[in-house]
Amino acid sequence: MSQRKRKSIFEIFEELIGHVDKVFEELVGVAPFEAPLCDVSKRELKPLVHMYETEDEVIVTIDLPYVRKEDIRLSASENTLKIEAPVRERIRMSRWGPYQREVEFECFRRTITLPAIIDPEKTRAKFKDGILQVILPKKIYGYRIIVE
Amino acid sequence: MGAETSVKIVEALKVKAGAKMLVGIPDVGLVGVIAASHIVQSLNMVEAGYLDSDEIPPIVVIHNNEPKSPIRIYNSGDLIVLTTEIVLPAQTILTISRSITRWAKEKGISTIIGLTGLATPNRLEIEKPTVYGVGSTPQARELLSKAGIKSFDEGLLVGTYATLLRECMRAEQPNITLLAEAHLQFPDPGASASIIETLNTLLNLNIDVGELLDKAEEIRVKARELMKKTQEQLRSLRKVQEQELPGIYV
Repeated sequence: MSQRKRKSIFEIFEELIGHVDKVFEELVGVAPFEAPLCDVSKRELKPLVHMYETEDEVIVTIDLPYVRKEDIRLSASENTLKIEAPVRERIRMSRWGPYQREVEFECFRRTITLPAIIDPEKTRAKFKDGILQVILPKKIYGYRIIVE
Repeated sequence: MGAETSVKIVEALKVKAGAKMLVGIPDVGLVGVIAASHIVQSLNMVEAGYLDSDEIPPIVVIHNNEPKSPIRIYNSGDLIVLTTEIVLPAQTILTISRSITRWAKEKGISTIIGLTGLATPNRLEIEKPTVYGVGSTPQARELLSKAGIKSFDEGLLVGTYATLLRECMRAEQPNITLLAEAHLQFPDPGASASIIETLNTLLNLNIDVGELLDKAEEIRVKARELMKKTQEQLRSLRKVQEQELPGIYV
């Protein structure tokens, strides 16, 4: 019997925010607010993500330029996927706007709420040309029904 | 006919009759925007005008302390490039496409060439994206064929480039749409490089793509916010229809 890892309060909170955003998006048709894809104070970038599901799997593709395969830290729970990946060199950007200050980013980080319950232990991933593809098999509940 | 144009193209410089006009606007993999930006820089093209409308988002680009329209036109010799760093709202696509087509017709532009991506699910496995072409007239198709560009034989086009192609057909303005195999949701400089190499053959240009490929990662990081907004637009336009099984064509 596999032992379930207890979630931290931060993980629970992130999941909760993810659910609220999802419900809001379904009801209103738009994301609740447009957050930029970076957090300047934490020097973090939020990667672009593409997600779709088949009958058996959830497939998540993540754009990770400047990242080395060996630096990727990926973890999954039954309904979240968390990615952390430091970049191999600091990404410098001249910010637009009145301050014109230069900003630096050190890593990509994002927690993704999945559209189905998955089996984290059977999750597999591959990385090519700075793009990470994660395949998360869905947990199938139910009984087989024989059709007579 | 509806959708009468409230869009104006303001010229800063005269463009040559017979010129070819490239269009690079946000769509699949930002292929057109990345390609257009590289072409403008490589050929040191000068700003020749801009597109003005009350319908475009309330955005002004400030560059070197000078306010500019977000939809601009560049020129060098017989080549014109129209490009933008904003996502065109779905409700403006028709009027903008119609205005571009009318302007091109008025100015005697020989061909409008749309540069875009073709969402390809197995893009990760493809080293060098293939470029396909669609021509609006027999002459345009002949040009594609002579340049050895694979024809896009069957399928759907959805979005701004589809509207532009349709408007060109209505106005009898020759149009070629080039589509490079690309990531649907991520900026794809590799696909843009393939499009530029195809243009080199089609228009007898000599634009080096080495620098574009060297800077691919930097471009992918810088283009993320535009890609995110483009993703939202592509969802609203039901771009996914391009990947659905073909219907019955009689």
